[in-house]
Amino acid sequence: MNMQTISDHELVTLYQSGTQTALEELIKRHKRSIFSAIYLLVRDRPLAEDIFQETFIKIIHTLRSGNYNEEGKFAGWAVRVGRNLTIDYIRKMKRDVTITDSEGNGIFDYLVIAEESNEDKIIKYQSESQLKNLIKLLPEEQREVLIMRHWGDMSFKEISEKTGVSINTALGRMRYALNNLRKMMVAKGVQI
Amino acid sequence: MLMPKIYTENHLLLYLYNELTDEEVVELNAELARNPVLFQQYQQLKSGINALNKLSVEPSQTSVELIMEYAQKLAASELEKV
Repeated sequence: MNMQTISDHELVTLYQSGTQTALEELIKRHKRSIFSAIYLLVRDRPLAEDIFQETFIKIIHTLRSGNYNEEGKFAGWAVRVGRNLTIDYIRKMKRDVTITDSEGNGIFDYLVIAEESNEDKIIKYQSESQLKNLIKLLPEEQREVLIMRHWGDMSFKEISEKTGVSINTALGRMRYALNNLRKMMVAKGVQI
Repeated sequence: MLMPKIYTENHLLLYLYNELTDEEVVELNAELARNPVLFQQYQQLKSGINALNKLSVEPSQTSVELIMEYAQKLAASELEKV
């Protein structure tokens, strides 16, 4: 059976019936979004790796116990499991949730090109660096919303509560961030 | 007479990030099909999001292997119980 062509819902069902390769495919599909959401909050790679493993252990037990009831929306549920475990950890450790670490490094310093393509690796590396640099040039409030929404998987409502602005303001900042980024990419000839 | 709803880029962002209700998605799909200006705005926002999608942080291969190892041990222990 070709695991790559079947839906998350079917993979979940297959795993529940004992097919281990279905779990492998679910991890492969969603590891980046789950790990990014965790890493964004803790900003500590070894800790993020631990919480990522804990997240999947929880997912495995939920699926195998038959308590999973997300009607096919596995991706969103799995990211929420990861985020909730991370937030629990942060509460226990009383860590601050910010988008930069103590040395001022942001998540962009650790971002990598997600998928291989046939393009030349040097060109890809340059494009990756250029895009990260362009994101760093965005005004802080725009960059903050961009990170929280795109990599932190927080809803605009959650972002508005966290940053103390209205939902429309959070949406406006995201809109400006995307439009500014696109214009800068065109101006600098960055193609990804 | 009801005033027609005016869609903005804010609606498009909520749409692109799956934060609209099913009913709102149907309405916005219809509007995108008949409103070329809105559709152009949608394409521009989507191209920005597509660029962001190329960047992410990945867990190590060791973490993935440890999870699979755990899953296999769990499955084996459950089989033993049967």
